[in-house]
Amino acid sequence: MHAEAYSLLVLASRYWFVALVLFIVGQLIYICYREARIGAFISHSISRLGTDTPAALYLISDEDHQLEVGLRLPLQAESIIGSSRRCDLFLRHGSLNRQHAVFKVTPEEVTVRPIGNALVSVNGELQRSETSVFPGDIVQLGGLLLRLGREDDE
Amino acid sequence: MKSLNMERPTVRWAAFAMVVFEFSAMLLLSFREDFDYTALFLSIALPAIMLLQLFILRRVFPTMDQLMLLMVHFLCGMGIILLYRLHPDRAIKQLLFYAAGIIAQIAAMLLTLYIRNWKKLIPWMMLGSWAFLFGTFLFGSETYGARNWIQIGGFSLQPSEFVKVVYPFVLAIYLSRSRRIKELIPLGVYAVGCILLLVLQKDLGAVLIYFATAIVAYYVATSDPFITSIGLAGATGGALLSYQLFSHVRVRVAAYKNPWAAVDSSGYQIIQGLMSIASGGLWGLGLTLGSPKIIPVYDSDYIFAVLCEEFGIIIGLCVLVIYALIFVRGALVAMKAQQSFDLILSLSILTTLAVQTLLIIGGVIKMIPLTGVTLPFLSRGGSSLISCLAMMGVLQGVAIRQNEQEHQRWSRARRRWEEQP
Repeated sequence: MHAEAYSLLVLASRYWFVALVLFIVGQLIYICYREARIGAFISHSISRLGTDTPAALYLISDEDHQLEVGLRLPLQAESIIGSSRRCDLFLRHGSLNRQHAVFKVTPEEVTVRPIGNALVSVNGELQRSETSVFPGDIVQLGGLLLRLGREDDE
Repeated sequence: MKSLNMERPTVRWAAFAMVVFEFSAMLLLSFREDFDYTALFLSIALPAIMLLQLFILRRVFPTMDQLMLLMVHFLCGMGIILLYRLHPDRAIKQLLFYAAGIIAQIAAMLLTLYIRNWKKLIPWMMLGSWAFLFGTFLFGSETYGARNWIQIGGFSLQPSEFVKVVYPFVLAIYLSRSRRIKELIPLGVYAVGCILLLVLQKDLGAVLIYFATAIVAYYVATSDPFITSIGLAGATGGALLSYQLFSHVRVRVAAYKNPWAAVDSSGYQIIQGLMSIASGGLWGLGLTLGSPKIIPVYDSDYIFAVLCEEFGIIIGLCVLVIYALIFVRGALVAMKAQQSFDLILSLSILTTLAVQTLLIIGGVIKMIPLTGVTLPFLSRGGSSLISCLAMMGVLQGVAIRQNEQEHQRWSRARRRWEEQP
């Protein structure tokens, strides 16, 4: 192509490229905004309506009588329970280690794993590694007995 | 009450405009002198690669983040267009690396999705990272003051780029398992070891990226302000020490403070970069009508200046908006994460990419002293492109898992709502 004609074409094309990229960025911002709104609505609805995943622990016995029986501990997707303030579920209780156990909640199951040498048993069986727990199971953490129930159990 | 339209917005128009941009830019390059058939081929191949990926991956993984994929590959395409305008032969080489990067991206996505027990791989990851970095220190060649390149069979590799992909995994595995300092000591030894090996190579840009990633991951996992502050104070001390120890750091800081004092030596690159951006103006000089080759390292570290000169500051700002959107969407993926492993992994990757982008763009526009790192997705460099795409693959893997879980929870919540009397 003739050099001058090519230069003219390139100069004209600058506006074309700017228009295209502005359109792309506009579209990207619009899509991000819409998806964020839908995402916020979905998470709000899920938290309002609840799911059928069992996701709360209920204190049924405390041998030292330091905590109130019936205390409800809602579980998140991953919750560390212990006597340290840094834990997701913080219980001031002498029989608990600073970080005692980790509970994981997935759509399929709930699991518990002792941290270090912490005393964790499920239905009376001492646990040393990650194990599944089911609704109604009794979990012992130190001197506390807890029952796994649904998020909205009374 | 105004109802919310629950239909997901389509990415069709954005994808179409990206295809038209890549096609018209390469077509314009094909008319440059004698008709260039390679450019014509690329005008079809580049958009085709992007669209094929989108269609195939969307079919296999319907919950993937399509927008993030499009944005990343649009930036990669833009990089190849700029490289083709500068050096057609280097652009073809970059295209091959791009293909390898796509394979790495898909592999990383599948590994993130399907490997459940990363703990078993920890020793290999840690020793492998150290071996890569130590090997570079022993056998590497020095470029621009840093000994971070290694020659293997005619190819130059930058091993610290590949370690960048493994590093967030090690952080995530350790920090998701425990928050006790005693159990985190091996992780501290690993991270400090990597950073020291990079200091020995004098690759201070990578040091900064690795350090920022570790400190962000630690703070996110533990919310411990004490150790985080100690880490930040140590980093400040390290920065002052490196200023005293390494002459090239002192030269770069001096060039940043007053580039005009060394206009024909250390300040030359900064001044040429700034003049290049300024000469482009709002609309740019036009593709092929600028003279960006006057800037040292124009096709790698200074690719953003080339972009602003030829395409203009408006498009330069739009590219920054695209980077910001990639990071915002990545952060949304991390915030949705149900497991702390996914949260720490995705945030570490985002920190790595965001700090890298900030360092080089900040350096090019003289906001901070220049550090020689590549601009993710745009710059020339196979190792960088492959590692950045692999990191995006990991992020996609996490996004797919989170979106699937959210979809399941949403279906259950809707079922409950419908069952309510």
